Amino acid sequence: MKKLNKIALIVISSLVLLLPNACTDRYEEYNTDPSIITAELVSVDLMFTNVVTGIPESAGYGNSGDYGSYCGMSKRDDDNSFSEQDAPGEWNFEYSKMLNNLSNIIQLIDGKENKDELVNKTAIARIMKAWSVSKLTDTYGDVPYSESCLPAEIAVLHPKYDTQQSIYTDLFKELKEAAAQLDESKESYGPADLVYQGDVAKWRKLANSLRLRLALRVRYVDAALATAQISDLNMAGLMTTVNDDAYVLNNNDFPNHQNPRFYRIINYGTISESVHCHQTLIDILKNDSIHMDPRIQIYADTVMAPWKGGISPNGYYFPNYEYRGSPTLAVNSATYKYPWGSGTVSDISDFWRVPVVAPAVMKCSEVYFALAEAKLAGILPAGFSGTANDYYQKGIDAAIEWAKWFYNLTAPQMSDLMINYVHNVNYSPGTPWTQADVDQYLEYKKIKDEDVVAFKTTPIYTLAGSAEQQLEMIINQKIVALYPDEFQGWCEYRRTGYPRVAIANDGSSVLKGVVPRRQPWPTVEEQINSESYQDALSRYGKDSKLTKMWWDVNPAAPHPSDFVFPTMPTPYQ
Amino acid sequence: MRKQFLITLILFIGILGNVIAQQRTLSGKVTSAEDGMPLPGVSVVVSGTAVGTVTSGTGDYSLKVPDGSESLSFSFIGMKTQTIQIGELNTINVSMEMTSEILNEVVATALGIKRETKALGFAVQEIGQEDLSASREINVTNFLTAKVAGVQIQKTAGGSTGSSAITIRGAKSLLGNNQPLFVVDGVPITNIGHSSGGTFDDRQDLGDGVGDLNSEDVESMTVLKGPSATALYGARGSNGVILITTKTGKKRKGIGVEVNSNTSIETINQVPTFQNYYANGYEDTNIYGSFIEIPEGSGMMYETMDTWHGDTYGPPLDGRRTIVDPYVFPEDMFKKTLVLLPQPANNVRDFYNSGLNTANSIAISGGNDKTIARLSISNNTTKGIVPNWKTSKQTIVFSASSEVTDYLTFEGKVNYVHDEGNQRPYMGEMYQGGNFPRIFARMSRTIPLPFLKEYYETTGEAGNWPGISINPYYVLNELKNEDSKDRIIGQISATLKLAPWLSLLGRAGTDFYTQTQKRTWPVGAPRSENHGGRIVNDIYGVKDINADVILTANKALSNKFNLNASLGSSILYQQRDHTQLDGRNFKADGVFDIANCIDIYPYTYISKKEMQSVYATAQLAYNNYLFLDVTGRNDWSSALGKDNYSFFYPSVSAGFVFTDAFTSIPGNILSFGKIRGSWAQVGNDSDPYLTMNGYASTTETYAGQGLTWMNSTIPLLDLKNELTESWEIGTDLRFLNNRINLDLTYYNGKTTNQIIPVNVTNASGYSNVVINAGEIQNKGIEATLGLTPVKTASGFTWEINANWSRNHSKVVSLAPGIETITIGSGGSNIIEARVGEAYGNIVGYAYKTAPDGQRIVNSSGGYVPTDAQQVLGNTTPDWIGGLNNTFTYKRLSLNILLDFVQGNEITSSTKYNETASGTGVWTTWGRRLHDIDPATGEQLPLVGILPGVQEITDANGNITYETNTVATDGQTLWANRAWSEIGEEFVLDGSYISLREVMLSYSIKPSLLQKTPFAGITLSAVGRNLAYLEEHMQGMGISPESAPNTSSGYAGVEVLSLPTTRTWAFNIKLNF
Repeated sequence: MKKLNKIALIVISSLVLLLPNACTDRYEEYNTDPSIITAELVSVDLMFTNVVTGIPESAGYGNSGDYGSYCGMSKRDDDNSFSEQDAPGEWNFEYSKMLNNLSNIIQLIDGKENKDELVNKTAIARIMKAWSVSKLTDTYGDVPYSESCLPAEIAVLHPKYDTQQSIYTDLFKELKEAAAQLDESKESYGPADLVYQGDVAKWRKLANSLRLRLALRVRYVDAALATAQISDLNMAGLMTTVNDDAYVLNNNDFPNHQNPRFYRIINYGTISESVHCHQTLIDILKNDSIHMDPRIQIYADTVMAPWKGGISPNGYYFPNYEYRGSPTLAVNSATYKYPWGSGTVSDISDFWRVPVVAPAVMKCSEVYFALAEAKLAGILPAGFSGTANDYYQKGIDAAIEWAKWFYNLTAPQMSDLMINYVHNVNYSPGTPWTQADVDQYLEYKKIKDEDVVAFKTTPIYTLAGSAEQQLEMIINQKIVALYPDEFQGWCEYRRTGYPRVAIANDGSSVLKGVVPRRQPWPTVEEQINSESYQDALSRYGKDSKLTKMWWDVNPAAPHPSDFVFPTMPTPYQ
Repeated sequence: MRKQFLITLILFIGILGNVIAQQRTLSGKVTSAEDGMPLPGVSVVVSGTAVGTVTSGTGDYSLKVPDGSESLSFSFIGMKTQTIQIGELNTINVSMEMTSEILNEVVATALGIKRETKALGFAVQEIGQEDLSASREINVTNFLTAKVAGVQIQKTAGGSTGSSAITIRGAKSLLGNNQPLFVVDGVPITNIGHSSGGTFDDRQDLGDGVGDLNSEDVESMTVLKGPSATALYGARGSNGVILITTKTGKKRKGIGVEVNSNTSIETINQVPTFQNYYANGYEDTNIYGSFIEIPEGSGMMYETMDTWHGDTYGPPLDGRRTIVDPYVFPEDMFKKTLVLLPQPANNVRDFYNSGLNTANSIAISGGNDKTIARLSISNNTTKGIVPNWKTSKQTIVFSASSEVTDYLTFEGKVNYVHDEGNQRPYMGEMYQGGNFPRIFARMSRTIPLPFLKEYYETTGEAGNWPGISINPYYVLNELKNEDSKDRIIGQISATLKLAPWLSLLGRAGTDFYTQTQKRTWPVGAPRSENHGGRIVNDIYGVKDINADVILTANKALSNKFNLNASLGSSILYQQRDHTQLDGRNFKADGVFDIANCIDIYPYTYISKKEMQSVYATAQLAYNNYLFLDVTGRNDWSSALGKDNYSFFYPSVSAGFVFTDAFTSIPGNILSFGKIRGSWAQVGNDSDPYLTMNGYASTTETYAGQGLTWMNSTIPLLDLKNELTESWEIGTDLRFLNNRINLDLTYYNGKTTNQIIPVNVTNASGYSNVVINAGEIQNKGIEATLGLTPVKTASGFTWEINANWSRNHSKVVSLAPGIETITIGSGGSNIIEARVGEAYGNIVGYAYKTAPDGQRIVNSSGGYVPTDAQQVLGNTTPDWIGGLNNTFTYKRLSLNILLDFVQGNEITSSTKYNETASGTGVWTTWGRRLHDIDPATGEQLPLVGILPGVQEITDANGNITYETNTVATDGQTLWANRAWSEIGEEFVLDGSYISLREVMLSYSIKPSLLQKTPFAGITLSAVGRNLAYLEEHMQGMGISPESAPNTSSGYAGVEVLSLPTTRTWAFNIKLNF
């Protein structure tokens, strides 16, 4: 018995002691998430691909109508991006998808032994970052920049807001340095680069062209800075053909990579987008009805489809199949039954709603319009030999060429869109379409060479009048060329006051007919980055949509429109 | 520190070893004189010495007595102490008699140790067999509703088979789910709910872990509320512990058979109410705007109702002819026409069924002197209130214990559960989601449900209807989900009696299951991700392994001092995995298999966590009326930072039974009196992986290229444990021979060093950062009162049991620079933890008011929100309570339970949605702007003028207020409040009094059964959730007590839950 107790005690001691002999050797393994890729193993190429998928997410097609009402491109039923609501979308997108990853790519490469060999990857990331930051600051004004997106160990959780002026200074430096850094003899992103497939020369042209864009943006506030930034540019260093355009095609493999306008058709079970063509865009394209712009049918539908004929779903009858736009802030009223809804104003043409379109960072037509403007302003260096009119016409030519290219890209996708969605009984009233209907439609919509020739004979194709009138012509065409990049359009409108956007001065609207000059900072900033927010607020006085940012100083902007509220036709009974 | 501890441990065992030197062994069994059942825990002491032991679970004892010992003393609380002369006896069996006036309660406490309530220095509350039987609820957790002070139970919106949220003494962890630990027969089980919904989740509630238990197997439930009661369970017990004791076999003649059959019917208690005057459309317009002539040339004009007429602010339901969607019935032009008439009052109610639950179980048990065993099998099927919703559950439990030798007892138990669910209802607020209450809350009052049903049945499609996010009959029949779960909870233990006063328990338990869910959407389902057909397979794996070794000594140190000490160590290994295969875009329509998908998104998650612990506990009793408890525990958790795996926390508690100490107190006035106090700390660790971060990837490609990105959480490399520290004092008083029992507790605790992923500005480059900071305080009072107002000789008694508790929480601090953390959201408001305020504040925009308090109206005639968000209420009740009346007459008893929750607010998504879409009854007020009196053709008087004032600013900037005179349409009057997010409108008083349960039961007199095979028959009828005696839901027909999930932040969020139900249950229990 005694012996048994002794043995038992040994057993107990071992058992009691063995278990807690805190063998924590495996704890590190237990607490390691196997799905996580570490910094040592991560591929900056795949990170870069993920970043550039942000181009189709943000460049124009996604937020259709948000800014279109304030550059005359499109008209959303509620104009709601400028209601009192918080609009943190751009903020979160740029910081969380673009800037943090781009900064991290640059940091990761900087930590590598062969970083000199990877200099192109750093430079390209810097160019993309400059594009992203410029969108951010042009949306909100002063934003966190120098203290933003630092490595996790030294991350600043309450980053200060840098002034837009200092941000622009750095963007110019970044674009210039990055362009100089690019080296054709070294490795690049290759197929991971969905924009240029690693073509270093094209990236250099994009960097310079972006610098031209930003230089013009600051020309009213700091002409010297604009002049200095343009002074070292030359024609060969800029984007000059459609082949130089920086864009990423949507991808049909995964629904969330498709054109968001297509995606929404399915998502909301309806083809209705509540977005129509703007009065201003239609007015420019109608070209005083001398000879309409040959691209008009790519941009817009007539109020009723002339190739089918008939009565609109709402019963209004427009015998002339005309193009009609809608002014900003036009709201439905009891006096007019749905005067600005589908069937009474032109819808944006369905070419912009196929699954694969080409959202762009920048297109070469913009470069020409920028050169025309710079020439007009007298700040273009001597190396550029053309006149303002030369660049203006090259811009229009490039934009028409792009529109043809766009037609060729989208036309093959039209059958599916028209037959399965737009003219399908599950989505829309009316008779379903057949392939013959689609063919007829595509033929009707095609840009015809004879129309282009005729268009070039109209006064709109040649700059004329005072410098200010010429600027208006340039920006009007720039808006058409930029479409559907409404954000860049809004920047142009704030900067130059053109085009003359038709705004219905509706007293009940929160903005009372006044043009918004920025988006307020996300409201959550006030809570989670309070001190920095208050500091920025003290510079701005008021975190308002009407507060002007640093470069927004053109006293003439916006130029008023001579738009008159039209009388609506009597509904067909 | 650890080394010192081990040395102490070895010394401790060494010293004990030296004392093992005895001469003679006495053994025997102690039983109760009343029923002959064995009595465990009886103190057996050699008179005049410190030599003694306690009886085992089977009432047996064995004691080595020194030579010359004269007598043995048997004592047990509530029993008359007996002293027996030893003489030459080797076996002494004792039958103990109860003393009438002293309580004799024994409760299971930490580690399953049975302790006398009397000896505890902290509050515990037990729900015994009498409270459990027959009051059937599918989830045993709901047994506790309104019965335990300080415990709040909230069912989720998942309906009768859904999860339940339990909060004990307030939420302690800022973002944790604050659910207590469930321990079944000494071994913790997991209580995880998979995929229960948040506000915008589009999922089903698959039930929780405790819901798997067969309620018929439960013998009793004990709630350990404070940390001193739970320190020994360590981190997992920091939110309280619920101990569940299941039934075991009993020593008896022959085989005992118990059959229980329960049928319960669930009927809809209340359904949301809707206005029935206006159709869908906008601006109160009298017409939709365009007409079509049908048939052509007939002159019969129909108004066209378009799909974008989504909200219900349109023309009156006055018999007008319309065409809904001119393209939905192309083959029959006339079918699509619709005369707009008020919908039948019951059209939504009729969508639902009655629910039916049947639960049958049979248990066989038996035992002899050495071995007892029990086998129970149950089958439980449920038909839910939503058509096609079915669940079933089968359980098999086998338990046995055997005394292999005098020194060794084995016990084992295995519980197998099979659970299946079919078409569990969707939850949440997703647009075009499948949540029926959401569909109905926003559904226009235009289209009769039979119309939608017919459309679905004719075409097999959902259709695209104005004012209907998705056809509910399509959801019912086409959006499928099914799930199944196989679970095994098992444990084995061996108890080795090393000496009469020293025993060693070794125990291992496991709880593992696999739960799978398959959800499918056919080709053409709304929403792009489902449109090409979709199938989602989820597989959840849960594995817990618990092992522990406990060495327990129970020794009388002198005739006045008794020491009960335990030394233990345990290890817990937890593994959780989740695999999801999300396949989209079918190759062949109608084949619901993952291989049939073009795009497949796989997701896998696996986490492992281990916790090792050593602990020691000692209880010193003086004269059986003064008790001191000390515990200490050290945990090593793998989820913490590398240098912080280890953390230690102690507790101390004391109880003093002054009525035993001062025997001069007359027992017929104060029968029993105790004061108690305790102080304790308990540490808590975190989920795994908060200490690392890196880059994430996906199977998604873009143009053939892979995608990788940086995760945006900044990890905390040196993550430390949370710590709850609390103290409590209490008293237990019984008067007039136990006719009045009063138990009072005051507690005060704080949890510091909270582990929180704090949101930071995205501008930092990161979205959140894990921090160790913050403090929450919880203090409160709990009271239970038992009264026996009537007790007659004829056998009639009336007993009242009441409990009341109030908890006051305060967020003392959060992280530096962080003033508030959002913990939930709903009804356009958020739920916050804000420094200096109570946990669970509802925060949102209020009505902007003029200085005199009148609401400000804008120029369009609508109300205006305040410039800044403000506190609109709090989701934590001021107090909760229960009142239970039991009337017993011989074998008949009637039980009436009332449940009180008072002084809380909820934020209501139902009200938000019905306001936004104009379906709520209240939204008819003022909607007369365009109404023409059909009799006279004149415009009816404008009443759409909101009470309030217009703010007028003159040229000098002076502000004056003028009474509002702007008449406007229904949208501006009502929907504007939702669109402008004036959250104040959607905050409702959440107080209620519920008639929770009425139970009538009768057991047939055994003498009547003598000629039958039955030993006992008990019949009972129970009605649960019968009515709200008080509620403030403004006639909306919703329940104040539903939540979308079990997390504390959502406790006061009403997110379009299923209608509440009344349960009528009939129960027969047969004993053979």
